[in-house]
Amino acid sequence: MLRKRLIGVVTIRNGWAIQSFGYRRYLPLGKPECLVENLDRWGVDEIFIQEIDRSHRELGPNIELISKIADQGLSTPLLYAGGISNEAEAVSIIRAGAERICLDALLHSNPKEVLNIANRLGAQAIIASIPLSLDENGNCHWFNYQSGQNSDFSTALISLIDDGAISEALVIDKNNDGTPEGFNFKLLSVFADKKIPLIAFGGLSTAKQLEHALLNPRVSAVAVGNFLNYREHAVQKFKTSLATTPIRPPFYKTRNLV
Amino acid sequence: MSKIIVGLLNYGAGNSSSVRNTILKLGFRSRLINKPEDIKGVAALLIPGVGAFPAAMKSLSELELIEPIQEFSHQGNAVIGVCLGMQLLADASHELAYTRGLELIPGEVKPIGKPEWHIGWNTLEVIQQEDIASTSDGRSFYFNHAYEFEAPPEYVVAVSRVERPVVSMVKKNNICGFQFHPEKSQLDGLRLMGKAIKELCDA
Repeated sequence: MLRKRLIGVVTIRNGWAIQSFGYRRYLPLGKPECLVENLDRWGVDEIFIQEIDRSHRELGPNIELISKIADQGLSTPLLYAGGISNEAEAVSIIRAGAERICLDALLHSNPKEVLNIANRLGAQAIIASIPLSLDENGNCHWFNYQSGQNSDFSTALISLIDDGAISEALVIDKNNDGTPEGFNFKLLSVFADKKIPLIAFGGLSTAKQLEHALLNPRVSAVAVGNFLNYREHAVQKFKTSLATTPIRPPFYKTRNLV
Repeated sequence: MSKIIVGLLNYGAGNSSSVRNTILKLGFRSRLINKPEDIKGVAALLIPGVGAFPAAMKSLSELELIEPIQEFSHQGNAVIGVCLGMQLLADASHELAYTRGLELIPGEVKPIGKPEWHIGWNTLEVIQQEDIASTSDGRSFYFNHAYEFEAPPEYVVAVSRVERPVVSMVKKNNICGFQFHPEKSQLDGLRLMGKAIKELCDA
């Protein structure tokens, strides 16, 4: 049986893991590799590293960090987002040790290149990061971190989704990121007429919320950042509480390989 | 550390770094294979893989590695393919354009169809008596693929169910392929990878 996933998110800014509140306010958490090591040990289903200042500062992906993390000998799949602007960078991320990449700025600036990346790596390696908000009239807006502006979905983005160049959409509740119990489930219905699997992220903090998301047939995974860092073994504890959902059961690492 | 040297194909689109770390963690030695001469002296060849089939075969061709891999395998040495690496073992693939593979295990690679992707943790159903997979039946492994290796039943060791069974492990004599990523499937994956390397090299 194919299980739904709990993705542990590590958000990085200026090289440090941070706690983010609506991508406006940040608190430092420590070295990214330490947080990743914990998530690996706790048996999260995927680890998502997002470096939120790489595109804005035109730094490109942080290959050094990915290699450093891969060299720790992770046994959990690694997803990476940050500064990816072309096919060569996407390939270098995979070679450095990530299994999949997550694209955001490139969806706005050069959607054609997304297609090139899909042709090289396969669509299964590509996730679209889509920060969304709903206004008081219930209208949905797609946020561009580069310009700081909201817009409607571009026809290029719709084509990428319809043509199968992207395998999953990371639906980020931009306004409720870092807000306990903040995730707005109405955002998931924005993709009602699309068949792309969805990953819910931003303000998912309780087992009850995670259960609500995971029981949605369109949702393939839930992503949690800040709220996994508040307590030891948060992953196993969340998973134990989610036994009624099709999530992979908790995993406990042991030193014995044979 | 074991004396077994696992040659790891370094052909451009593979997640060679992750796989190399796993090999070392399991106590084997590892050597990156960048050119045909690097194959000499290795006990097993491991083909990692994240990427599209045509680009991977093009890269192997440019590195002049196709014939040396086939020769290594025909001599009875162990060859292990992971994810795209397993698909490369096939006769051909229909991904993007019809492309010939390494032709080590009969069969062709075709789109999964519905759903379009198989992403996430799925359980292995071992359908054929095979020592390497004997302790992995019912265990969960990490999958991430859109194309499937359609092999004759005698080579299919295990399947995993999406809306229908999808081939998840193939084996023919000294050649074995995993559609999932054992290197990223935590403890069960590490155990399976270690067992595969050891048993294929001991055979």
